[in-house]
Amino acid sequence: MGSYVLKRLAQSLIVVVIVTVLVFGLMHLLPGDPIQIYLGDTATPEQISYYTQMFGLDQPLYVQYFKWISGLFHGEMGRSITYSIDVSELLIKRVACTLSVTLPAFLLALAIGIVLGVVSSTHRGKKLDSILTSIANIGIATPTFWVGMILVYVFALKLNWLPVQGYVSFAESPIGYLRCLIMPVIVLSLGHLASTTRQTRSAMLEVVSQDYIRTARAKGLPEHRVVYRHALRNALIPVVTMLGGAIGGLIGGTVVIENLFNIPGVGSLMMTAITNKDYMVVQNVTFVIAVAVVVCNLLVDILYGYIDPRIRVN
Amino acid sequence: MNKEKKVLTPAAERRKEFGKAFFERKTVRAGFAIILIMVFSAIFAPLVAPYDPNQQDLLNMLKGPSLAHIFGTDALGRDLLSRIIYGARASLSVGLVSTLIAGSIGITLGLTAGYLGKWVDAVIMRIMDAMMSIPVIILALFLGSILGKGLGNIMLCIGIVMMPGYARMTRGQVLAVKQLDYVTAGKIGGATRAKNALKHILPNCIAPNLVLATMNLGTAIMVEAGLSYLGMGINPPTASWGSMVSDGYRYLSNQPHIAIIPGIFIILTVWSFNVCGDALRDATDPRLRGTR
Amino acid sequence: MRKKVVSVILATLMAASLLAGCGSSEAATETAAEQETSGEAGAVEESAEASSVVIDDANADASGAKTGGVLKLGTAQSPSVVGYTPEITNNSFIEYLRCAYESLLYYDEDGNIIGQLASEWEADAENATLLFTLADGVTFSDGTAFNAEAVKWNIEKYQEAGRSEVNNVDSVDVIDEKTVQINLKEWNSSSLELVGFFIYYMSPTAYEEQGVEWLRSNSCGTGPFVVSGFEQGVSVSYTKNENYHVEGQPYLDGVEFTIYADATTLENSLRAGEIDVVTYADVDLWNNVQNDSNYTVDRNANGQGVESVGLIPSSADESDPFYDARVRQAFCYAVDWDTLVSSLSYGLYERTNQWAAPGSVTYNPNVVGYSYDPEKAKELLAEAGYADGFTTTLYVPGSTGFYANAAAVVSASLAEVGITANIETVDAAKGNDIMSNGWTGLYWHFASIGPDLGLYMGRHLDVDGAYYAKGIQHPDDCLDLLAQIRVATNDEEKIALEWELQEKIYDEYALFGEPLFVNSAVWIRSTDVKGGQFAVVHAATWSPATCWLDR
Repeated sequence: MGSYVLKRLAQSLIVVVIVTVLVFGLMHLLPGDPIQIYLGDTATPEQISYYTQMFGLDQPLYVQYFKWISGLFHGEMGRSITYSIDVSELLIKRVACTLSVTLPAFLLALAIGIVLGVVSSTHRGKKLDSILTSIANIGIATPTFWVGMILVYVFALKLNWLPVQGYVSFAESPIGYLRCLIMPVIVLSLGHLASTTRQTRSAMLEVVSQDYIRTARAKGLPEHRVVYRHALRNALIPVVTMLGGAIGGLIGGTVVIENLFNIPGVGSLMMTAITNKDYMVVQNVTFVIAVAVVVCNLLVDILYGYIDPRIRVN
Repeated sequence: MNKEKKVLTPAAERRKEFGKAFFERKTVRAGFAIILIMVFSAIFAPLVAPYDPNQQDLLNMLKGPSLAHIFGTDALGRDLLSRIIYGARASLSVGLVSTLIAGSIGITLGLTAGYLGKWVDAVIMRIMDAMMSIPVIILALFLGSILGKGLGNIMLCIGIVMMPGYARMTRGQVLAVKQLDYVTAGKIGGATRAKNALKHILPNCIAPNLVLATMNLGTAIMVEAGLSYLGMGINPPTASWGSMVSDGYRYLSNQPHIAIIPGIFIILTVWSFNVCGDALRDATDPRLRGTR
Repeated sequence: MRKKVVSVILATLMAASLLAGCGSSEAATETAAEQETSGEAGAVEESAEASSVVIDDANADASGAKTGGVLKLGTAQSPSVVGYTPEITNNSFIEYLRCAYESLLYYDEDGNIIGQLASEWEADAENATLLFTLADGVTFSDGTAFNAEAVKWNIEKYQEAGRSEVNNVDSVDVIDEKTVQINLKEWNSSSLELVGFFIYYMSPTAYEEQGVEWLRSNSCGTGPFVVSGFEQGVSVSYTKNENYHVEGQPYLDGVEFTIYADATTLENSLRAGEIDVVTYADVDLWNNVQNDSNYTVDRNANGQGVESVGLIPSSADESDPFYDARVRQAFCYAVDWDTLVSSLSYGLYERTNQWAAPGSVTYNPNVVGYSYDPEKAKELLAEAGYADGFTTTLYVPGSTGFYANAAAVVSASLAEVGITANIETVDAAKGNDIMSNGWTGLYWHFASIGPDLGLYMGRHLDVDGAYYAKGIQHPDDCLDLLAQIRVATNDEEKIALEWELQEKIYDEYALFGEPLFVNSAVWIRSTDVKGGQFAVVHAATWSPATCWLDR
């Protein structure tokens, strides 16, 4: 087991390194010069060279790359061109904001998804099952910004129940926080809620058909105990393995959600940074996201390895 | 001929059984019908659509539904129904072609990695892992900015983004079969073993990849819609459902139907692909039959 | 719109600074009274000027300005720096700048130069100098005095940052505490406005004590407000400057800007009452609220800071069909621009056919322009050897919205005369690359058309201009005219030359293609927001000190 963990750890490290090369390369393939974008049509050659030197963009690419990486080791993320501020400072606020949308969305999707999945599986073939399955399927098929747009139209513009946009931190006003985040969280969680429901349902059905459950039933254990004690526990394994991917999906989803609801998080930051070619922001944000996803995958794998020894063979 | 009808060949029998399993549920039949209708209108768009989708009428812009324009008109006075019908072309072909791109490159990489193993496997799979650790929409934004926004480029961009899934799945299948192969084939010589392995590997990879592909058709349409919202969608004036929703979004407060209607078409289509993908998985995996 | 190249105008700092924006007649009297208390000379003259610039809607509020409240503005402009003014390079951030900072000169509603931090000024063409007498009683928000040394120090900071506005400044002489002389490298008719309007004065003491990094996200100027919070890309908030040099102002307790990436969200936010003002509203929002009495639409009418939007063909390369002036003219004839602009802007945008808003001094009524004539377009194409047309690319910022729609119309019209224009969506980075480094095909032409061609057109027409210059030709006769405009010593001469240049550029060369419309900077406010002079004096800005809420 120890060697398996070590091996996965090494692999994860390599993946992160590849991500840095990938994003650095892609970033420099993008057309445009961030300094020119920043300066606009009054730019003078003097100004361009003043800023180009200030941001070290006159150096060869490999130097810039190694500077970035070595900075990361010292906890330095360079400076945003668009925002004229250290990226780490910018990121701290933005990450907090994004987490306060993604975490509730994640938990909501997980909790409700599992419950609905179990209910659906225990009512297999009945009306409730087909209703829940249909809703889940439609949930997966709905573009997030389309739902978001309609929710805003109904609940903010027509009914005036919720704010159109914005973000209030929980510390500032818990009620304001809830009011701001209800719609974004629901929209963001929708797709994942639906897919968790589907996965739980099919995992449950597979587990239920297996021998030990039949044995448990044969022994006369109460049905709810069979379902929740024995079946669900095992059925959750494949659901848990999908979580690493779900994190990435949720963070990706925030690009759209944060634009729509004007939430100052990582997603909206990323959107402006890519279109403005703000090197250090894009590189570091992608790095942070990739590390988060890789770590989640790693944890899930290790966890999975403990639960299911067969996986260690490979 | 008669004889053949009575006594089915094993292959034909399997096909019949598969068809029965696939179309078992009502939702699948509905989904399949929807896909057929969408594909039909995409292919025969010029015959089905009442107007040219790009024919502008600046005097009749942003009009609500009427007899002449069932779904009304957009900001350039173009007929929304016609644009939705032609939009099926763009949206479905984005789904189809990007899935083909993703599938063909991904499966090839997966086969190579799984079959050759060692460092080739390590290199390919780590790159795939790296791509998968960047959220799809962000990677797509990157590639879209680099490649440009023509229909072909958008397809390529979404295809590349979805590719790692196929590589990973195919590699897993190859490894599983390879193990079986070692057990059964024992010490048969190199060339024969390779041939033998491929013979077993390929068929085993087809079914799960087909399922993944069916699901991805919907995903690709959704990614395209997301890119459109971010202003990075297909070049105008080409209509895709995603770009139509985004176009209509600006008129939400006065003419919400412009954005809502194309969205419904996205949902119907993606839903149909997913339902069919589910059914396909169940039908190809006998263990799962009847579990849904 | 008169421009005084050599002028000595008497104005007081208060009247000048903000009387233009004075909220009501009562407020005007109030300010005039203050002038006396602060010992200003010529108070009578000033109050006369003050009453002449009181704006219409303010007159309606005879009850006078109410104090207190926080004004909430929604904007798409996202500044990177709010306090260190030499690094605030973009015109669209002046809406922020003017909350905390002021300039030596400003404009009145008619576009005339008036004093703000300067009470007198003199531009001397012969000796190539600018002489400013500074207003009395002005302090920075940290309590230190605004004086000639501070002016010199600020101009030098602008030079360090490589700002084009001070390129032509050779040296700055401090004559005495209140008098400063700027020595120019050579006489240029734009220098007075460049130095007078585009330099915003920061406290040298604050810079020394707090450092540049602090100043980037805080402020220490002479303006009515002080930055109290700045979150990059999210919001900027200001609180009242208790040391503000106009007694009783500002009326508001604070100002809050929220930055929006999505225009529809911005509109929804205004409708839901989350914000009071939208700066630089898009045409859809304008159209949606124009008949709604809850909102008032403000527009610039004097031409200051106004932009035009057009389509510019690439003409730099000989292999480019647009290299031939006839092809560029054919392009202009091929599209029914009037219909395009009026329908896509719901009849709201004003057309122009040159580098000026109709009615401004630089607008030459003799420019013929190009009326819709596809036959003529075909003829010209045939003459130029493109009887069978050609294929080109029309770049558009963003795949949806106004520009995408307009591009679809243009592309369809060009197809009628045989030109295939494929539309290619570009993001901000690529769009900027096109403007900075050239392109092949058609791109949108965003031009500042303030009434000074030497200054604004030069940015694109000069061989080393920052934008568009690399994609177009630079005809010698046009460059000559530009040079003459810059050294012109009086208004009449300058305007005559500017008119000549307009005709050459548009009618003869069609060098900048077709200017579609004047983007007169539309600001939308909730009707109970008063006295803010949104976009009125200069399209990009407003009068924070005199703005008040009628609640």
